[in-house]
Amino acid sequence: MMTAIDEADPRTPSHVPRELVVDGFDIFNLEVPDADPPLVWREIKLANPPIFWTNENGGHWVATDAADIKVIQVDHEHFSMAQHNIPKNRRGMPAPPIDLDPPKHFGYRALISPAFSPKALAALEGTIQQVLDGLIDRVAPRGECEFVEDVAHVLPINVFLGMMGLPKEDAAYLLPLSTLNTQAKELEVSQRTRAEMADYLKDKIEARKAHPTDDVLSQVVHGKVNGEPLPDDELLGMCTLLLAGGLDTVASMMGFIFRFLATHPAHLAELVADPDLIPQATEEFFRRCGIANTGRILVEDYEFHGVQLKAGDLIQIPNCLYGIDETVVDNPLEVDFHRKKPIPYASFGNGPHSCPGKALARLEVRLLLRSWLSRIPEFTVKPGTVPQARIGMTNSMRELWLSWR
Amino acid sequence: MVTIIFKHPDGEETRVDSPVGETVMRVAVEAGIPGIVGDCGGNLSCATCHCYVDPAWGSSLPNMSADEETMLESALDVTLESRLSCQIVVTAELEGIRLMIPESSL
Ligand code: HEM
Ligand code: FES
Repeated sequence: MMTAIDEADPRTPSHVPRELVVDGFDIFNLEVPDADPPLVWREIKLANPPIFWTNENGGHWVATDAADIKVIQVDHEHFSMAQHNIPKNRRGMPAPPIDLDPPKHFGYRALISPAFSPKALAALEGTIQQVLDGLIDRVAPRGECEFVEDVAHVLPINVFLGMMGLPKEDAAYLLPLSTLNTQAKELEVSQRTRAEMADYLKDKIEARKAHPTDDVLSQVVHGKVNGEPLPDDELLGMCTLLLAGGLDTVASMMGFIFRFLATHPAHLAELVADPDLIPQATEEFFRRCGIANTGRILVEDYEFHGVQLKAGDLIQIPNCLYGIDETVVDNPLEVDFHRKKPIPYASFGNGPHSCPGKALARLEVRLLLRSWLSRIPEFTVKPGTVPQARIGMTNSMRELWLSWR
Repeated sequence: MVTIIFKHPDGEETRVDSPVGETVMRVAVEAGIPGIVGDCGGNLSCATCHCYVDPAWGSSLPNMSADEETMLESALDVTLESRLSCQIVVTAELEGIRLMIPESSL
């Protein structure tokens, strides 16, 4: 058997020094032992240079230092959003505003911001609570559930459909697509998935064009950027982004939070005894459980901390690493509901592209915790089962069996 | 530099120094003040930068534009002291201005 350790990988681009190449590093094939992806990312960070290169998935850099992650998130003069997924062109369609840089980004973002205004979210609170009550009514008497499929994925899809004024029954068609969207490794699969999501929305968009109704979909369809209506491909891409952005992300966040509570009885008891801690606990979980593993593409050749980056290079920034960095908070791996406010994190991005769905995600998580803990205050991981998580374009919770009495 | 005082719903205060010409929203976001998000970047499209201006300072501010008034309707718990902080530009006259963060924004 040849073990070509010293032999250079012929795929390595000429500007990438050998010592910065991590052989075989494939974000879609990482082991996630305790269903705790930030710990996996932390090991990767500790074992490798702060900016390293992999030849897998088309080849890309990975930056793991907290300060670098924050800079790369916001410095769009060097680090563009034009490509921010791995592999490149993962969606195979435009997705404004996320694939645009300032100043062009501004007008597109303004089109979706109103959907997340405080009043718009307050109007959704009833829907969220109603879905939650129904879900908990259904699982509570069973004494167990597979939390990811039975609860975590059901809530955000219903919230999306509610916001958009679309029928709740469509959730069954959309849910499998949501997972493939962030977890498929093959470009062909990720693009087909995206196209299927878009296909679903196409005639809904046409219907709203003809007959506007009182929902976010109609607002976006009839919205204008710089005084002009959006061309069809951009409109479709934007609506698909709104669909795709808030499913696997919210569900995984909830999954990681419940995995933590199920394995940390003292924390669980503390929240049950004092539900007023829930808002602060939600911020602490956002810090400890970053989800998104997006990246940026280099606009021009740029030397960054002594590393020569080249125009067209992709650089991934696993943003969970920001909140669990010693330079950002003390005891970063510890979950502490009494940290000094504001709790710092980069889990929803920073700067112009920071997640517009953040306040919605926060509302969903808070209401879930409040409702669940008041009804099912004691629960554990179901004996004999092991929680399952994956890493891909998101840190994604796949399976979490819970049981209670 | 002009000192701006953010008063949190729990009564605590954070003092932030801001250059003249900056908007209060951007100052708050930069300082990580909870409850001021500035989702739309100051484009009067989100109402996530809502604050209450201490009445002692109200008269030092220019009047609201019609667009600000319209967007403010999408905020919660609006009062006569309400403003959208992306529309407040820091001037030397605002030294020591106190702005309250709405409880409903947290
Ligand atoms: C816990 C849940 C969520 C997490 C962790 C999350 C994370 C993120 C992150 C990190 C970004 C910025 C990406 C980057 O800078 O590379 C982003 C952008 C975005 N998110 Fe979320 N998100 C969540 C929920 C949602 C929800 C509920 C929605 C909508 C229903 C949503 C819609 C979007 C959109 C449209 C963008 C693009 C914004 C822009 O480019 O201006 N997200 N999200
Ligand atoms: S920042 Fe959006 S309205 Fe002020």
